[in-house]
Amino acid sequence: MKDPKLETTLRDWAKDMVSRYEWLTVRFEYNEDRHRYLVSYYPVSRIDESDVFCLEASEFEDSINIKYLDNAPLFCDEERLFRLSSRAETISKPKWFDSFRSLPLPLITFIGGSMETRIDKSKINEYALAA
Amino acid sequence: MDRKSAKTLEAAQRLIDQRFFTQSVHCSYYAVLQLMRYKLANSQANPMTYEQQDAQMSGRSSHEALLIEIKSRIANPKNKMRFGQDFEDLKDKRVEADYSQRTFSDIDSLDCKQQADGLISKLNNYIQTK
Repeated sequence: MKDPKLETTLRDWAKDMVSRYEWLTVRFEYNEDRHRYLVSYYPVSRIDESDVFCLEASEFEDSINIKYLDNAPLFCDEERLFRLSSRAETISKPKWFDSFRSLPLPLITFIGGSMETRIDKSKINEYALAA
Repeated sequence: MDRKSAKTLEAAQRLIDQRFFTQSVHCSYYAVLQLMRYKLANSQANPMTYEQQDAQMSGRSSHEALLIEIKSRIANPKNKMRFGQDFEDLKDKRVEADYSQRTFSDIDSLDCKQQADGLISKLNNYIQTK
C-alpha cells in the first residue's frame, strides 16, 4: 500500500543525498505488483568509486528496513534488481547546475550577490562574454 | 549449520526439478539465512554464538537484525551495500512466494535459486570463518 509518509522520507533523503553527491540521480516509485517502493541510484560508475556514498546509502537502507520490515522499499543501483517505469519520480541536480558551475567564479559570486566586493567590475563584460 | 544450508539449497533445486516452483523460493531464501547464522557464529571477526543470536535477534525484525550484523562484518562498502540489497530482494520474493497469491514460474524460481547461489558465494568470499 502507498505510504505518503514513507514517500516523503524517501524524497527528502534523496534530495539531501543529491545536494551532497552532485553526480547522483535517484529514481523511485511505488510498484503495484510488488507492493513496495522501488528505489534506484545512478550512475553505477560513480557509485563504484564512492565508498562514502555506499556507506551512507547502506546505513539509510538498514534504518528503513528495520522500521518498515516487509513493507520497506527495495533499493539497488541502475535498476540492477528491478525495472522502474517512466512514471518514476526522478531526483537529481537541476540541469542548469552544470552551466551555472561552468561560469567564471567572479561572475558566479556576482550573480550570488554575496561577494560583490571581490569582483573586478571593469571585467564584468569580459566575464559575461566568456560565459 | 553450513551443511544445513547446503541441504536446504539442494532442496530448492529438487523442488524446482519436481516443478514445485513457488515452494522452492522458501528454500532458496532460507539456505542463505542459515549460512548467515553460521557465518556469524563462526566469523573470525567478532563471532556471535547461536545462543547470542537467538537472544538478541527475535521477533519480526530478526532477519533484519541478522542482516545488519552480517553487513557490519563486510569490509568493502560497495559489497556491504549490494549484499544487503540482494538479500532484501530475495526476502521480498520469499514473502511473496509464501503469503501472496502469486505463483512463481520455472524462470522465476530459478532466478531466486541463482540469487541464493550468488549470496552464498558472496558470504563465503566476504566473511572468513575460524
